[in-house]
Amino acid sequence: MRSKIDKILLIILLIAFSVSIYLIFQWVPQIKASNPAEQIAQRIFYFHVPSAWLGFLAFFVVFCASIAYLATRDRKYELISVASAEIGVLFISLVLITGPIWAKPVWGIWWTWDVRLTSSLILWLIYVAFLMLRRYLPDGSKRANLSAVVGIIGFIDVPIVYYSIRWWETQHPKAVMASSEGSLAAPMFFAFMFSLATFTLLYVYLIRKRYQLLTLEDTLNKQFKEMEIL
Amino acid sequence: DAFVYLFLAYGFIWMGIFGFIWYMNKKVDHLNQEMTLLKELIDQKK
Repeated sequence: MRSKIDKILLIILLIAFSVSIYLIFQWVPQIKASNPAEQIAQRIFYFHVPSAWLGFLAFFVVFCASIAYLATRDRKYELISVASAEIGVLFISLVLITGPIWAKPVWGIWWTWDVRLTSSLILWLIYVAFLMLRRYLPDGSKRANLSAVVGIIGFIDVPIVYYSIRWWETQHPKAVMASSEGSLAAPMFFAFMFSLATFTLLYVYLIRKRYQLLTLEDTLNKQFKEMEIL
Repeated sequence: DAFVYLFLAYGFIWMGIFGFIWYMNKKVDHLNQEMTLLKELIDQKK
């Protein structure tokens, strides 16, 4: 049953990503900009922002699962937080890679230490530390408690990253969604929302697969311990 | 050329997504091997 749902999800994802690519490269009109490179590089937006959204969503799940773990001490929540943190780190890494690639033709530089970029890098470092903490501490309640605390405290940086472009003057562009300062043309808005939905579905697929794997790994380790081999 | 930047950005995103799925599939293979080993050990104990 589980693998059937995963297969259906994967097929929907492949179709959704194909449609998304068509919308981004064929359907959406080119933006009007004085710099021709900016017109082309702007299309990075449709995957750059959804990647950031997916990272935020993943870290929110880590935050909720960590609270649930500390409240119930249920191993299930610990595994959910680990699975989600791995996915979050992957997608924030992609944000930190695609951002400078977009910035170079537009700003002329790969990186600048403005608030949005720096807080995003700090967010990535916090959750890399979360994964390293789990890697280097022995399995047990101490590791679970410590990583849950890091998962909760680390989430404080997510709203800072999100609101940094509103709270401070930054080189990073202002919000074009959910703000009165900017707006997107209808086709661009549709392509963006479609891409956002596709990435959200990708998160559902990845967390299901990763959680199943972690559960299987956990069960195997327990059985090996019972066999007194480890 | 700006197209190179566009290609690079999308290339990295696809590499990231497919890389993660590939990593999970490798993990499945590894766990299947462990499962086989565990079954053999249980049979030996019997």
